[in-house]
Amino acid sequence: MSNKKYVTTNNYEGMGYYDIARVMTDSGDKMNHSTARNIVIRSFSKIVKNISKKYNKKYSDDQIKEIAKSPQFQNSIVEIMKGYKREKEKLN
Amino acid sequence: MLDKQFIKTIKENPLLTKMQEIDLANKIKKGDKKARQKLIESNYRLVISIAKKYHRDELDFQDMIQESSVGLIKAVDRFDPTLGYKFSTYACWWIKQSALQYVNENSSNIKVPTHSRMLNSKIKNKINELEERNGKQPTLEEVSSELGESVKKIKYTIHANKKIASLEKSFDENSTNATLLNKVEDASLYSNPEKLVESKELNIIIRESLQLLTPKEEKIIRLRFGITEKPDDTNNFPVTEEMMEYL
Repeated sequence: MSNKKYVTTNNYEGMGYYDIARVMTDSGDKMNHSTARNIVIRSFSKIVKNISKKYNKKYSDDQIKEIAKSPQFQNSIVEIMKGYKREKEKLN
Repeated sequence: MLDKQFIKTIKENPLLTKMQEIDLANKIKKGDKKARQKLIESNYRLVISIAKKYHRDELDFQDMIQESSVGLIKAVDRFDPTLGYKFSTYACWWIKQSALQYVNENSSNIKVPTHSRMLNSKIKNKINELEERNGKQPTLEEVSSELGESVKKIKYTIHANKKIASLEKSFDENSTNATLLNKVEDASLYSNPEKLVESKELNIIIRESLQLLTPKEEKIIRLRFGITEKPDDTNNFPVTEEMMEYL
């Protein structure tokens, strides 16, 4: 069985990867749906790497990818991003 | 408690003899509406007596009488005098059924099936009986063997019939602070300063990590999870044709 998995669909009112690819292409960044998906995983992986570095934890690339793909991790980051957005709105 | 009209009706309709009941029942069968009314009004005492038995503090007694009267009407319409029983013997089961149904539907915010409530009441009675007999609280296994029900079912029934308590309700009428809400443990982060500090630290690290994202990556994540900078920011978060159709 293949170990490949898509990033789990979120509970938020966001877009699907096809829509994201279309929006990004329209705004000048040509891409297809799998590129959009890879960018999402890559972004979360960056965050995982930075957090593990701060806590002196060493994870393999596969482990980092696994954490980045986990819906719990993604949901937590999204909640923090939303909180960050709310704070920015308050300051403005 | 009871309205004057209801009391007046009861006073005006004394108890019927068995012969009178049979006579009225035969007339009802022939379609006599007055006889039907008479049989109903003459048995309101029975309704009150049964409703009193099943009444709980949290229920409205007037409503309870009304609902139990529905049972009486059912009994009047279905009574067969040829079987030889007194009307009250037949009617009390219908009145009990209506009263219990009302209690079941209104005594709690969560509806529990009537059979489960009945079993709960049996369990309570059995526990009291065993306590009196043995002088100690019975185990679930003992109650189970006495009632002939499985331990799992008894556990589930007790759990399903637990009373609901309002967090806002005060224990002490003189004090507004004596609420359940003030007694419940605060398990949130704010009650644990150490965890709060850890959480704040992690929050800062995550925010720093978010700064590492390129504008393109950030935009894609925002699109993916529906996070916009401003609600009307349609450049960063355009409404697609599909979304318009959905809306």
